Amino acid sequence: MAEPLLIIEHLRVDYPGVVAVNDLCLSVEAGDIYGLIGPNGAGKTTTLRAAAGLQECTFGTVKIDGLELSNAPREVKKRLGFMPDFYPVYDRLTVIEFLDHYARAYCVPNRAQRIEECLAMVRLTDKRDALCGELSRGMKQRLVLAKTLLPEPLVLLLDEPASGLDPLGRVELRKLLLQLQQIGKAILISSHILTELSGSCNKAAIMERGKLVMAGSIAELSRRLGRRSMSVKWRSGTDKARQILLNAQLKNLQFTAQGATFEFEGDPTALDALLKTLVVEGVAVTEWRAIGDDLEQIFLESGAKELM
Amino acid sequence: MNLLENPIFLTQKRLVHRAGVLAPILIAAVIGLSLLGGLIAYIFDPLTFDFRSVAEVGKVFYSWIIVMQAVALLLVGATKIAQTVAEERKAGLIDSNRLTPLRPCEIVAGYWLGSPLAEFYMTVVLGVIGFVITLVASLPVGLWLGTQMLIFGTALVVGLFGVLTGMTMQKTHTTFLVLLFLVFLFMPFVFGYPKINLINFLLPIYATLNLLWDGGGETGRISDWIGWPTIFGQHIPPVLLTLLCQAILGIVFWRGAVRKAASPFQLMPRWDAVAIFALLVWAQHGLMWNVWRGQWPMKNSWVEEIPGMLLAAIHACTIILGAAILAFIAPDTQRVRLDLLRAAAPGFGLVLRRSSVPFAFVLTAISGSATATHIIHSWHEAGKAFALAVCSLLICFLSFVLLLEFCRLQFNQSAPGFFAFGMFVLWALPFVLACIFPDSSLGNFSFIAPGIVALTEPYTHGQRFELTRVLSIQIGIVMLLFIAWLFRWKKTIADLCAEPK
Repeated sequence: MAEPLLIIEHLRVDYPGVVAVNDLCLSVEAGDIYGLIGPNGAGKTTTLRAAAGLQECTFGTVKIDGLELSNAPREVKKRLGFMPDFYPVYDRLTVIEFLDHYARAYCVPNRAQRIEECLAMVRLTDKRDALCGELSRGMKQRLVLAKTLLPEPLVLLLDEPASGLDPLGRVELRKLLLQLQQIGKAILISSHILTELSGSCNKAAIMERGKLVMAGSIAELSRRLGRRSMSVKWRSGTDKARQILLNAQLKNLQFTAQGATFEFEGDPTALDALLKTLVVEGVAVTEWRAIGDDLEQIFLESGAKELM
Repeated sequence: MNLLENPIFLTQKRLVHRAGVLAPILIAAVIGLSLLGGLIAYIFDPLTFDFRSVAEVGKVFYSWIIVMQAVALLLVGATKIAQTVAEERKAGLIDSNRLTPLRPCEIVAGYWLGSPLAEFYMTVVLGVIGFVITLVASLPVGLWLGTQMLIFGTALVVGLFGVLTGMTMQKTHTTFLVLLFLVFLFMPFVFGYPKINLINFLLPIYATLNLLWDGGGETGRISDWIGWPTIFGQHIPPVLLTLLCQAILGIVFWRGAVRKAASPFQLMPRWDAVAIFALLVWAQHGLMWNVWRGQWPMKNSWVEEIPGMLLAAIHACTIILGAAILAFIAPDTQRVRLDLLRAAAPGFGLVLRRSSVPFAFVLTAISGSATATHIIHSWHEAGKAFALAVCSLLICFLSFVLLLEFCRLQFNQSAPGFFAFGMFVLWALPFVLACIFPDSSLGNFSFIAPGIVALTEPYTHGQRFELTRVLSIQIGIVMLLFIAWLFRWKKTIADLCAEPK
């Protein structure tokens, strides 16, 4: 099995009088979109900055593509893209000049072509000759995202990437993240707006006061919380199905015309057994899926909600 | 990476050109051509001007060119570098550049040579016109070459200082205003004793005026600027001495700026700061060695108008410089805290390695050895005064650094206020009291007074006895400060050990 592209081990970051991040371990594999969630002040930005080498760590190591940041900073920087939660741009450069600056800094081959590709990715092609200072906040954010994608980094660290985007921008960001996921990038993305991350992350870590409360795949986190919201639909055998579900003593069981939703607690194999019972008893099951495996529910049930 | 491919240099160039470079170039050209016009007018009608020769008017007009170049490149250019770096640092652009695979030296070079391009263009235009003036006035080409070398050499050093200031300081304008204030403060001294004043060689003042006036046969004050300075009695060409001093300063500033560009958390190299102190102190004492030639306080017959307080004045300047260096290398408490946390067994040895207290001894040793060169042939007469001065210097440095570190540990955010108050009481209050109650002996109780009094001539046995007594009291106060400092550090270590790792 290939080594994860980003490995953070026992990270600790101290600020005067406060431990901002404490003993944090996480790894992001190729093709992962890893959500780092937590309330304000949980240590998400500090974690990302430390992973990018912009924040001094008290303890711990950061490895990117097997290379340790402190040992091979230049090699690591070639593999890393970091987008901060604010948007540093040269106000008096044009969009194209701004991207050219970073394309040169990263020694990007076929500079002009790659710049055009990145501009198209973030829908800024028509703004190529505008001064950066004249762009709106959302456009600046997209420009910084384009700059981050310019060297085609293996690992992307995105700090609150959607906070200033309009609804269309958010949808496009989600699409872009999924595209990047498909081509095997490792993405660590932080946000305190959970809906931003839902639907795009396949893994998540919940932070609270600098510590990792919980981490893993979304499904795993749900399992660890011991509950799953389920939806079932059938084409025939409604009475039989209702009877079986009522007998199973499920929580929050609600019936629709030809289906039901419920919450299941306990061993996942019992859930499989329930489906088997429905099928064996002749219910024509057309849908059997987990619903609400979203970050918001996980976060709210993780115990970190007290800090919100 | 070639400078012309350096993205930071290119971006700075784009920004400078976008702001417009034609106007500054035209201003420089108009000023330069006016001076050239004046020279040509003199050649055609010498009677309307109050000059003795074409060469003299050429020198005067060329010196105006040099002043303009210095204002453009040294003053405006360096301030602009510091301002650009500071603004980009605050905007997060330096961090963005730091995240790229650019080398720290490429980042520094980009800002250093890119931000002052408009001023560079102005200086080049003025330099070209200056060359024409030297040709028209039949001045030696060496004058033009030497002065241009000095201007551009100084601009490089001051520019590096600008990068370093921008990388570290919050208010770059304040730093430059303070420097400007200091330069003006020292101006009377600069022009009073040009050959023995280090400022004249750190800035290209002596070398430039020497190139302009040497061999001219002028008398009076101008004659002070003729001839080569000496370092410990050895004659050195002023241009070489200036470039040498600047090269050393430049290397130290470059190293500091590159370290900061690599990581803002890296400490400034402490031994580099000590090297700067050693360079400045030894060069200054070397320049004035010829005054006494190792027989202080007996002056040489060929040196006139040197006041009895000269060595004492240098001692006072050394205290100020040493305090500044100690403040610069004093550890940030948070930094030591992190190092203690990282250490497997945090102990007092680590504090001593990080603290700048040991550097108080190093700086005293450097300064003491430089001062000793003035008494190598008069040890019996001057040994006790020298010992008193060195002891007083050590007490000054120790009081400064112990109080600084104690205040940082004890008072956190309000440390600067408490430290300033403590220093005022120890160093300045006795002078204030001496003025209020007209009793000059009260002033001796200032921590900086004993060394100054000991190195001032004439100096009596009674004063020496008095100074020894004052020094004893001051040693007692420093001991108390040391105990307070020690206990505060031990408490910090104990608190850290109690923290879960």
